[in-house]
Amino acid sequence: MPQTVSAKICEAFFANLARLEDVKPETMEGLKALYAANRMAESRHLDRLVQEMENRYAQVEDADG
Amino acid sequence: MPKLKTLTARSLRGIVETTLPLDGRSVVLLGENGAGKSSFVDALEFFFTGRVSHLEGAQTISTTRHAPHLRAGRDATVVEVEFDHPAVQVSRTFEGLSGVPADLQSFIEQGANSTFILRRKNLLDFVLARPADRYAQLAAIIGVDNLDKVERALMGARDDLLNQKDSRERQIRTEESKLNELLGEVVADDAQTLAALNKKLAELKQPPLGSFDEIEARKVAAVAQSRAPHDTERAVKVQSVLASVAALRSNALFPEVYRKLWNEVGALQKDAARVREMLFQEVLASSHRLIADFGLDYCPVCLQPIERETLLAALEKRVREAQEIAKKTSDIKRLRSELADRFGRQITEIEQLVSQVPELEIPLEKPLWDQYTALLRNLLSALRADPLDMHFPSFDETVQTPEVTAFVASMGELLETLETEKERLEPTEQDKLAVAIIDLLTRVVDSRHELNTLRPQCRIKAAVYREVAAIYDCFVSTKRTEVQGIYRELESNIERFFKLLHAGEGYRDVKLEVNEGRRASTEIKMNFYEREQEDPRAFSSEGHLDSLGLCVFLAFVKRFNQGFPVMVLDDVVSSIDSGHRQRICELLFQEFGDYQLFVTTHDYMWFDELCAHQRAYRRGHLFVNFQILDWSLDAGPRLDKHKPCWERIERKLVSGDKDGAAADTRKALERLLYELAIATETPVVIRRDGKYVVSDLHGPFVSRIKRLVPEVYEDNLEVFQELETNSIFGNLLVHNNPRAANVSLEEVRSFSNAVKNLEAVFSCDQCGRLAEYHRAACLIKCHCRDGGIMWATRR
Repeated sequence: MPQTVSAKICEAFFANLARLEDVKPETMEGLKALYAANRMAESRHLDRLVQEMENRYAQVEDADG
Repeated sequence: MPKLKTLTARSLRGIVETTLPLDGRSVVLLGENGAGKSSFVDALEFFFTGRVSHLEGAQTISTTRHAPHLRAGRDATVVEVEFDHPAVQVSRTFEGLSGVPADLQSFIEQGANSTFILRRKNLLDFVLARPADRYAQLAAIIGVDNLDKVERALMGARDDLLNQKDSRERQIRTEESKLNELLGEVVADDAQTLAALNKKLAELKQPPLGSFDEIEARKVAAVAQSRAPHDTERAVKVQSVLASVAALRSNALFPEVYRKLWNEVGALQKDAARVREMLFQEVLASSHRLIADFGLDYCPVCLQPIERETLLAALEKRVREAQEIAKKTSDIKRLRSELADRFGRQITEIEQLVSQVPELEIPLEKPLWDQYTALLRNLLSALRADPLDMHFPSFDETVQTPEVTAFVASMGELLETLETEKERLEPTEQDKLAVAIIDLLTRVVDSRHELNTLRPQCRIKAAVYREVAAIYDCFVSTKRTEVQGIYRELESNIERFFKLLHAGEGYRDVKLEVNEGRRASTEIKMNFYEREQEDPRAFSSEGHLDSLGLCVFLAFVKRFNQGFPVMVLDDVVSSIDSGHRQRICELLFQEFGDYQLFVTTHDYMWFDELCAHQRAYRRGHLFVNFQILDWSLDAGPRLDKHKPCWERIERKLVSGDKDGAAADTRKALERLLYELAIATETPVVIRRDGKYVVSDLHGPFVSRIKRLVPEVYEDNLEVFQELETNSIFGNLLVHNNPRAANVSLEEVRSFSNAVKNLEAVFSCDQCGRLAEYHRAACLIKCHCRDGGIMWATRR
């Protein structure tokens, strides 16, 4: 079955995202997992992803003292 | 490709149980409004997608509640489709599909993911839609509407983070200014804070601190140096609480910003209708531009004549008002955020006091303080609502409530008690010094702690915001680029189809553009003669706009539904005239000949034209034509095979249905004269409602024929005279005319024959179509290349 336009756009999006220095690999993985579960449009799942991002930055802050 | 052999719907929409026998052919379904045509379209959509899209998108309707027949539960709803290759029957219920063999899986999945239905409403909405709504429709066809939801969710996450970051920054600024004021200079970090603190300690003749870690020991030492350590410690606490209560009371509990916000919200709510103006801002501005730039003297939306200057002035006023409202809502957002911060801080301060005061064994009327905190929390919650739904008491009502009055009185009493206690603990100079040292150190420690908590939080929020903003930007730009790419692919087909329908009418270069400046927005532009890239509404009739919408849909179907050659056109040609409808037939047969088409219409003429074109294109064997005779709630639609117009009338005449036959004949004459008037470019008095009766058209048409082809008139004099004699019935048989009751069955038959004979004069035996006037060639001719009708006209 041919790839849907939506899937094609998402594929291009992830390829473009991988080129961005600002976006961490863990965030990419989290987004891809949401996409695979068809949950990327759901705010509460995105909020959870954002919380995980904050936790990771908090760990870095803690490590930096 | 698999074809549908039968479509059977049970307990769905207006259908109780009906089978459409298709045998792999396309179907044309004729029925009056409300006869149940669209129920078949809904059944087809439900079969492939499990939903009925026009029942979704509003809170009050849904597929699950409103797709089942009115008198049946959802368990009874079934749509069954029998396919030819592979020869299987597949059923759809609300539980899902059953009986799908592996080799049909891909076809059905494509059906589920394709937009293959064009409804009349979609067509009307499309071209006249705001760019954002148009984008939404195209996004649904392309199948990227789900991505729009992703975009909105990402945007929401980004904006939340920005708000949280900004709020932390505001809190940091407040805390920094408190610390700077305390230390008497601006400090940027711990080192500067320690240096400034040591300067303050030097002023109190105290040795400097080596680090902040020494502060607690220094406070203990200061207490120890005082004459009465216990009293000194208490004096420090009393002093601190006193300062907090005094600050709370002196900084107005309900600041002026609250009054301002309340006034702004009140004004906005009183004028809620005007808020809607904001939504129209873009349409109003575009309309203004169109009318002003092109000097239009008609409305670009409804095509009614206008007083240009008056309308321009009115539009300017409305645009200005919409801008004012937009500014007001933005002001309200700012005030709301400021006030929420303020109330949040007050709640924290009160909570601290409520725990500190009892520690001093000073009485506090806790219920009053709790009541006041609850009031603040309620206000905070009210502030989160949309301005139009924001409900909270007015400034005066809030300030003058018994709870607030009692709370203010309680604060006054507490201040008096604290002042008395402070006087009782009137310290010695040594005590005063100890208190000053401890107060200074405590406040610096508190501020530093607050800043050390807020600053990393703010850095984290800022970092996550940057990352999420980058994700959002990347998503939007990728989507925009890809969607624009798809638009480019489609433009050649849209243009080709549109030219086929409107050859020689000056239209070209149809462009769909993703609007760079707006989220999820599509502009549609086209050239019209020498005017380039204009909004089609500027120069097109409703019929042209409809056919443009149709061409866009067809181009999308051609591009995206290659593996699913099924297409439904649900009553989409109402505003398109006969000449153009004929070209739509050609377009469908030429470009979508391999599709299984489902065409519904309430228009007898279009139905007859489609049937005639099937014969003309020798595609009769590929179509099955049904007419819905009637509909009832208990039986659903009653189908019958198509009967041509004259066969229907004859049947009514034979059965003695004089009124039915007369009404059908009158309608047939009206349609025939209307189409002939268009085909021969007959000048008639324009009727604004577009509804012409026989008397409007008959005379002008006959004059036109006499002038253009007098010999045709002479040769068919008998036909024209017969019609002349009988046309009285055309006028007499207008709806509800009591005199029509006196007309005999024979007179109706004679009238019917006259109309039929007129149609025969101007219809080609070979191609089945009406002859048309070709001004440039000075000919009236049909569509046949050889033979058929061809009459030279007078210049």
